[in-house]
Amino acid sequence: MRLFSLYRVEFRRLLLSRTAAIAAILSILSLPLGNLLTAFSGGRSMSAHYILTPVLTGTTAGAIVWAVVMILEADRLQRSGVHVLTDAVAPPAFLSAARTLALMTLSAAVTVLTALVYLPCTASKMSYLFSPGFYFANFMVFMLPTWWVSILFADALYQITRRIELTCILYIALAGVSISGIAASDYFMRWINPFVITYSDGFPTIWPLRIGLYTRVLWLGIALGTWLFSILCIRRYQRGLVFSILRNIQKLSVLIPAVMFVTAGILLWDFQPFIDHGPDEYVASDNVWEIDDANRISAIRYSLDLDPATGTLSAKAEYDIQVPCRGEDVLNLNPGYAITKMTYDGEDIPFRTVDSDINGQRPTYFELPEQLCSKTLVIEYSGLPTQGKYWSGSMVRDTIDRDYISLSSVAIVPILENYYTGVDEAAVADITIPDNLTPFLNHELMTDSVDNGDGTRTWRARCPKYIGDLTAGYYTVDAFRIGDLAVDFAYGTAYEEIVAENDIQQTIIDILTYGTEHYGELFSANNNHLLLRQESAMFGGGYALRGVSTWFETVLAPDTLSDTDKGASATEVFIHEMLHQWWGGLGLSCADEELWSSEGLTVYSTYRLVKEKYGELYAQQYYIDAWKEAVDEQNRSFYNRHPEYLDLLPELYQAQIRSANKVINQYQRMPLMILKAEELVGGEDKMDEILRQMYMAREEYNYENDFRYADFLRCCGLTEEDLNLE
Amino acid sequence: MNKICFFKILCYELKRMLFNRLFLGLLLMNGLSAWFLLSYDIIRGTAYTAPFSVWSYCTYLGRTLPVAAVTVLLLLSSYYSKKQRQVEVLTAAAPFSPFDQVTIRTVTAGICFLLISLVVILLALLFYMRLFGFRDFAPFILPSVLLLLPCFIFVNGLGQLLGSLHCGLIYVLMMAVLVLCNVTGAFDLFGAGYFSSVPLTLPAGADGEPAFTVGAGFIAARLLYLAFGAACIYLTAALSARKSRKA
Repeated sequence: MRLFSLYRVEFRRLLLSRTAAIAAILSILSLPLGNLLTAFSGGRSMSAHYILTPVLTGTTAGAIVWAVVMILEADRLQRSGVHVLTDAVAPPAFLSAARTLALMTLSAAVTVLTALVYLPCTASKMSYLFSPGFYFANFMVFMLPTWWVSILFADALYQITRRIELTCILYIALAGVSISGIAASDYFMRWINPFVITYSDGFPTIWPLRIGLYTRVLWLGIALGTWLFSILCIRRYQRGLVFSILRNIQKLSVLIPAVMFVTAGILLWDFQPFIDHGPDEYVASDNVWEIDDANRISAIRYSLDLDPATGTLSAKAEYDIQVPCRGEDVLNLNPGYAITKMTYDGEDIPFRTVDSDINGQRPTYFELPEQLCSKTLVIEYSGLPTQGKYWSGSMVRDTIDRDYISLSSVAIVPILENYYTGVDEAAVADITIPDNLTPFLNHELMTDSVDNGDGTRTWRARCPKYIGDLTAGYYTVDAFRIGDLAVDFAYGTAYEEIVAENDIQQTIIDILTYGTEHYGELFSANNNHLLLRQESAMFGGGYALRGVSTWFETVLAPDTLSDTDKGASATEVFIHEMLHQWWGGLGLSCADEELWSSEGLTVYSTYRLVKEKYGELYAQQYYIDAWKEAVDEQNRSFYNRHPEYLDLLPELYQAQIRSANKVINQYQRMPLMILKAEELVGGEDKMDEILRQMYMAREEYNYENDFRYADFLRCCGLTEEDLNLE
Repeated sequence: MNKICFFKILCYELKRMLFNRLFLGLLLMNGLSAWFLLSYDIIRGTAYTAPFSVWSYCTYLGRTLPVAAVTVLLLLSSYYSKKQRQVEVLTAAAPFSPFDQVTIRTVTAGICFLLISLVVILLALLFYMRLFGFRDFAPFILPSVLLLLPCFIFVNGLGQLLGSLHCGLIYVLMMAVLVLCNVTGAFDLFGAGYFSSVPLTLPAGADGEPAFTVGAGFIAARLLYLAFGAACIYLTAALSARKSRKA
């Protein structure tokens, strides 16, 4: 009761305080700063531009502002010298608690006010893409808890040090760790500036909000525990910190919750279910699987039930095994899943899962009894899919949401490495998802379904043993033909208007026609069928496979499509990915070497198409000049001039520098070399002829005999020295 | 005031400052931030030069200077705090002139700054020796002096002058220091921007790196900062003398 009355006094005082009013105004005004400082350059979704960036800016700026207010408020009594009197009237711990609670309440009110202030503007800017629930959720998940954490830390630091400057320094150090490069892509370490890759407009997922809420709860636990500990540091008998702690520590009612909250926070961090515990980098596997002819699976049945409410998958995989492997066997699954049951011929078999996550996979070992007749191996598993640590900083690949589902590889079905099926489509998959989503299995539109009458629909399709991709979302699929080629153009329903306004269908026809005219008929279409699919912005990029081209969402964003001066980036990625149907993917199979890969040919072809479409000046500025600049920078780089020093660096830096070099080699240096080859062979027409011959000879090359740089030189009649850029 | 008395007070001030938890904490923070800077940024080299080139070293030193400058200002703030002003009546009665007082404060802050700089520099040398086996540190000496001395005199002088006018102004200066980090060109007080951008404009030498050179404009700006800082120190002493005469 006493605490409550103190709280009421403090809150009323804060409401009339000029400092608090200024803090509220600064917090509200800070939101647009993010977009002002990082000039909008397209390539971002509307949700990222109008919701994510402002909210995250306001979150960090507000956290600092409220921390300053908290420190000033905490120091107020001591500054004015009346703490001797107030401490005699009310216990300092109660005063501190009332003050902190009052400020937290005020910051909550400011959060709501901030959301309301920007609501009309955001709603009108985003138009039909605006969702009020999603908008307010961002404020409540990121902004409010972060402000609270900041307030608690600021008060705790002050109570511990009792000195305003030391509190500021410690707070800056604490915030510095979160803002520094160490925590750049770390969802959990960034307490003051939450990490969110981006948002999608067409394929909304609440995964960022889920992990955002989790990290905020985690930090609230740590901050609350620290704050409770700081209560134990309140000075007694005008003595120092150590004496006061020793006196106060007898208050177990404070000490125990303090330890509990901090421990809870640390445990939440350690046992978080979102990112696996694998290495930061992709680990190349040197496993060679000895697949015995006998280890044949005659039939597979997959049954997947996806629950968007909890984001979890419950699944059953049944394998009719003709002859089992001898000895211990291994299967790989997403580390977020737990195998609940494993039976062979109806009998439970023992298995052990080892916590050694690599490349987003966790191995489970088991042994099948040796029987010569065909038996059925049943694996039941369920759980929340985790993101592989090595890609978690750049994309969200595995997520099950109400409006969007994206699962890959081991997040769909287990990988039984030692067995093969002998036929292309030995499996039948039954997949139950919300009935309003359009699913694609292994990049093919699913067509056969049964309505379950409970808001879900079960889709059935034949597929191979390995399922690489399951995507479902609000898709619109336009089907059209270019000569004999049937094209399915799948894009987010939210983009219907944009696709119609910008005549995207005609652009696709132009690109496919260009490719066909210059390089030849599109062989990579699957039975004369090509799927062009828009991916969620959360996915981070596009790719091409047999009969499939995907590109990232913002290629169709209004700002991207209307920005003709922006140069070779988002819009042209669309062209780039489409041209991969000829180069790489399953067009001409190119080796992936340090310098040579399908990217060089694709980038060059994109340049040629862009030159034809937008003119020579544009192509020179955004392609040739950009390549030259990047290559020049690479040549000047110290570690390229002195590779002997590169080996002295820690492995992480070596990997980063080598990977950056490879990107420049493949995407900038190689196209420049092809351009030089074009000059040497006699111009564009001659080069087109050579490229056409290369593409026509594609059947001679496969994954065991890739088209290499030496082959390219041979086709051009040139030597390595001819294309030397030095 | 005789020399013995001056040194006694100086030693007392030094003891008070160096064995202060605040200073030790700040020293630790300077060291930590410098190590992170070396490990995460300088390791890649500045403007395509070696991480142990004079360019990279100067950029590193320049990046650590804002933190060191804020540290000096925090230390100075204790001389101009309200509590300090309350005992000014007593210290004014001590047998030393306002000029001596400002000199003692400058020397104390200078030694603190020097200690911080030494830690920062030693960390860099250790980093270069351990990681790259680099030991030729002689070319680092002059640029270090060129960076450290004007920066300290300017920040210390302006800090003392503003502090003597109003203690809150030192905190404003701390904010200004953060803004000054972004100044580029010859007037870059900390030099990080200058030393990371100039090599990009120079031709590469035989070893692929631009030869280290400092423009006359940059040196002139350093001298200006130095002169301005010295003038501020003098002005602070003069103001203080005027105040004590009035009292």
